Amino acid sequence: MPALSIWVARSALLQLLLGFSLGALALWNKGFALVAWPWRLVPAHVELLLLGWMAQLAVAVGYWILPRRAGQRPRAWLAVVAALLLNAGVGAVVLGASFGWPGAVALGRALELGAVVAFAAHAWPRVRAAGGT
Amino acid sequence: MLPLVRLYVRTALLWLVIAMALGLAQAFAGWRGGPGWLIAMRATVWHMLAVGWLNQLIWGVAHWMFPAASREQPRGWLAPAAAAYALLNVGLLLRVVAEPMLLEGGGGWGAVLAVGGVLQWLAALGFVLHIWPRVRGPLRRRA
Repeated sequence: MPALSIWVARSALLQLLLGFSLGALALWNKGFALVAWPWRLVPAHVELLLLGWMAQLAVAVGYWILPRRAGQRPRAWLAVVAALLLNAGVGAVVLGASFGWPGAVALGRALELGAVVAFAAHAWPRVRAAGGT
Repeated sequence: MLPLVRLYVRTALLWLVIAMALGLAQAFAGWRGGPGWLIAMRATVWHMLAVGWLNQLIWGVAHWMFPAASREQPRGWLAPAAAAYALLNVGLLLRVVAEPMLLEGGGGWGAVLAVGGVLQWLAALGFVLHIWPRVRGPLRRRA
């Protein structure tokens, strides 16, 4: 596994744990109402698990597994940019949704959009038949 | 395919089918009328899909495909992976049963729901403990 995939996968695993933590807290609160605020964490729970865990793991594995060109991963810098933007975006959305900052949510979504565009630009030429050019 | 991987993937497929069937029943109930507990299970069905199907499939394939932890134990520490399978499915099952029951009448179902959440969290911890050492570069050749 290349270094970028290792870092991105580890970030995804940490966000898996954090997302499940928020979910468990919300579910506990559904069974035994503690305080009202766990429900404010549900959007953060969703963001961490759908984007921070699943989408990010897909980026990590895609960067690792997709066919290479002469053993190289062309325009790898795009994948680095994607990883940075994705994590920054998830962070912004999580904070914005948890504290009621819609501007932060909008910024986070913009960063996430940048991330997926960057990763798609990196991955597109690697989606090819074996031995293809 | 390893036995534990087969368990993960087959169980994920079962959750997918059950979730889609419940989703169909919900849609029909919303259209032609049906029991309130069924219509109120929207979050439950989403979690059957997201946790029982998608997340479990990811865990199973990761257990299968990720790099070896070491030459001596390529699959790494298996106990957390097996525990994660059991905890995830039992926890999710408790949620599926308790959530509509809680809406219908409360009682002890709140405790069951809370326990379901804790079990799923422990499952995530187990999976991370298992897979973390396998998020690595290639094993070095022996001298």
